[in-house]
Amino acid sequence: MKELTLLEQMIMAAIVALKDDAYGVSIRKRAEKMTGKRLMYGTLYNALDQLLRKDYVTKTKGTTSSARGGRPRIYYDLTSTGMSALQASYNLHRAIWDSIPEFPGN
Amino acid sequence: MQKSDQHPPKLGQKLLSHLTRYEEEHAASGDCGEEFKERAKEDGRPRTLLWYWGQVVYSLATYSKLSTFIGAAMLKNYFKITWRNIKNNKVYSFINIMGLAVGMACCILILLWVQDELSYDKFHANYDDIYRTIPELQDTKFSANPLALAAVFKEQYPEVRQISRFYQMNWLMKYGDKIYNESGALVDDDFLKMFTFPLVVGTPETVFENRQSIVLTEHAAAKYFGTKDPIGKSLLINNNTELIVTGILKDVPSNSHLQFDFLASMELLGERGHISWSYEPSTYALLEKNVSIPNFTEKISGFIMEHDKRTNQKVVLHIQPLSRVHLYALSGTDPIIYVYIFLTIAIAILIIACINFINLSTARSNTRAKEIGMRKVVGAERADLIRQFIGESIILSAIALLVAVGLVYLFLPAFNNLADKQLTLDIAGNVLTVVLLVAIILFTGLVSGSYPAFMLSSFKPANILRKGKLQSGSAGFVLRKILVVSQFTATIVLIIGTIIMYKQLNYIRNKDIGLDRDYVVALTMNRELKESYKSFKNEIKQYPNVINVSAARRYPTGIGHINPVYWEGKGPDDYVTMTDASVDYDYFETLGMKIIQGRSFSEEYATDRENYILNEEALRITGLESPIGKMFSCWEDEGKIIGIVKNFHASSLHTEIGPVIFTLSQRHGSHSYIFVKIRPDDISGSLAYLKNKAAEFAPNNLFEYRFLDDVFNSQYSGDQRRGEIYKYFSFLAIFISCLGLFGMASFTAEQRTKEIGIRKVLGASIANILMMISKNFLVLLLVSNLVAWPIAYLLMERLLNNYAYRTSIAPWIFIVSGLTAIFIALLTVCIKIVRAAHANPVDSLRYE
Repeated sequence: MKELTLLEQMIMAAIVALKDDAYGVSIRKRAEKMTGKRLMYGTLYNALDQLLRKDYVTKTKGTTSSARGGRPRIYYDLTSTGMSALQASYNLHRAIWDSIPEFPGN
Repeated sequence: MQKSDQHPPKLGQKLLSHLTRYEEEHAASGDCGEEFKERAKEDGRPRTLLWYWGQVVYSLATYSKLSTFIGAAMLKNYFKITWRNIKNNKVYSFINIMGLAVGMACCILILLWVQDELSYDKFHANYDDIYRTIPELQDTKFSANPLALAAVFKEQYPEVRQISRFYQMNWLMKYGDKIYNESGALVDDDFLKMFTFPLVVGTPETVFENRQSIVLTEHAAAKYFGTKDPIGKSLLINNNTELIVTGILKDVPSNSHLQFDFLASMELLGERGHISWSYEPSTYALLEKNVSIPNFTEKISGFIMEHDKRTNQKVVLHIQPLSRVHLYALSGTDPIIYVYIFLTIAIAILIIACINFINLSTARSNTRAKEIGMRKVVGAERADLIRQFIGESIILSAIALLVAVGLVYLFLPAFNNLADKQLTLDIAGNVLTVVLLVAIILFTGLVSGSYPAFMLSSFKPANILRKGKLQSGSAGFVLRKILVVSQFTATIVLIIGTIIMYKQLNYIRNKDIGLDRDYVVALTMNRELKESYKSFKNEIKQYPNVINVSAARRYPTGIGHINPVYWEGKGPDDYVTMTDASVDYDYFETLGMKIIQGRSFSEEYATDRENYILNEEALRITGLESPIGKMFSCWEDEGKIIGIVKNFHASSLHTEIGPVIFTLSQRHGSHSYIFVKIRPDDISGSLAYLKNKAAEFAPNNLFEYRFLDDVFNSQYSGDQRRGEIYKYFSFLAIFISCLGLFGMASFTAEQRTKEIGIRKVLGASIANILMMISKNFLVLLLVSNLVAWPIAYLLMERLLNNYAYRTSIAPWIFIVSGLTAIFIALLTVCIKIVRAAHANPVDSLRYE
């Protein structure tokens, strides 16, 4: 299994954190808040495309509101493969950082 | 915040929803739109717009990166080659980009100006249905309507939904220790309903419920009340009336032809406002949607004659749609002609810049011949090459546009100052501006790229690669000559136009207009000065530097009211009107007007109150042989002609001298200006003296004055401003043309390095070489002159015919303009060639 990129981890973590409320706007904001890095919609959709293709993520159509100009919200959720991939990369990171007792220079 | 502010731009939404996968899979436009609304509330619209467009552009970029794009690699190569070309030929690239940038900057400035001119009054929701009523008397149309017209008009015609008069007023306003002069208007109750002048406080229905009320603009209110709440406060008007502030208006946009700082109710005029048929306010009517304008126009034409029973004057009533008020004049030149002139200049300058581009790229075709040959050999179709070159020029134009936008931001304040406008370049929020800029890029890119593209792509690869250069070194040679000629033709026409406009302005300013407007101070008459005018006059006449003092109802520039007249011996059926000017004793003496027959008004004759003085033109119309002592009357006021004054130019030189009669009667209201002729020395001393005296006689009023020559010159401020603008654009046209010539010259010098070297070895002097090369350019410039002269002559003849009194088009103008262009152009060429000619022949010959 190929490793997840940092961006993918960011987005998937945001989806997990948001539970039932994970759609475009909330994911983008959550991921930005989480890392303090700017996330553009173009980047987000691009990554979501990949995740959908790899079957890590599923989507369901939500409700429409006038605030969205008639477009429905699209909600995302992790599949079980997605969840285990995220778990795997968490374990990997733990393994890396656990290998040093404390950060050099601190 | 308005509702529309919360909506993301339509164009952006469209773009996003066309990215099919993002839209279908992720509802891209919905997400961005939703967040747009949230952000707009917090950050305000401008920042949010910026954010939104960032998202759109970035999405477009990531989307296209993902798509399998067959030509992507090739496209990358094109960009690379373009970049290398820019980098390797710094001089050419600089000339190209600078020329295009300056041209585009001019174009953007002019288009902003045009956009502003065309936007006048469009902000009114009822823009299409508002009309102004225009009476016409003896071929003269004017905007002043009878006071009583509006009410009767609305009652008689069901087509009229709402109607309002607009009566311009200048009031002295006082609140506490703050005194200012304000200009505003009296209006009817419908005014704020039919026009879109939004109230910040108050409603259109209630602000004038109490007739003693006044509505101020935000700007004016701040002047008097600062941050305090102005509602309910009372202002003292003209030291005699108290009005209560009942509403606050948004400031009037600069692109409104109606300008005011306050509004008050027309009812303040009292009874007179309802019954008088005196021509005073302008009148606006909001018509029903389905009214047939031609029928309505016909129906109303006799309206005034039907109702105004004072005389049998033939006054025809017209209507003028709001859309024509700003750009079409009631008489004389329609200002829209300037919109056309400026548009032509904008396009001419842009084309001059494009020509530089075409010339330089065709001239440099040799250097790119190998690249083209290679591409063809490896399998490039002709269409690919055309696409490459056009793409290249579009990239260059885009870079130039960035520079141009920078230049526009830099020079916009200066241009605004010059054009007396408040233009802004709003790229983030104004879709029209964005479209305009993209259009400019595409226009310049296509125009300047297409010829080189077609020419360069037609090379035969075998020939190029075998010889290492093009078969004939003169590809596009004839075309290049034609282009240079047309470029300089346009430039020379602009120079000639500018000089002639200046000459005309000078002519106007220095023409003997029949009265002496220098060193005349016009003081505004106020109530207190009016009451003590006689003693004030006698007192200031004692001051050694005051030569004479008089007064009049109007400035000499708009001297009086048009009225029907009658004289001894006039046929009973002739209906004649003349301009009726009411003046005070010593008027002609103060303004230096010459009495050529009879005498001036004099206090020694009590009957002079009824008597008349005519100008020569009025005398000519009456046809009287010996006018002095003849009976003359205006309205019913009968008197005698006591003098004839020499013709003088009352209004601007755009119009001809009309018949004027002078009386001492004040039938149109009392005098509003005091004219004081002073000695040219110690002007500031005299002004200080007048100010002191005015303060003594009128302690409750402001001391206001203008110099009469300023009043005259302000009639031409429009002409003057346009003259300045022409001047700058001509300079820029010369600059861009010379930039191109400089590029051509450096190209020639480079091409002929070896030839110059050999000639020098064989004994040619630098002068010889200069002659040899500049000769070619000289011929082109001479041809340009020959083409430009007739064009300029015809154009300027037409332009000058707008003036009733105009300067002549002298031959020297053409010669001077031509020589200037030739001189500057040759100087540019020589600077470049001298360098080449000075080079050591050893270096130039060794370089192969």
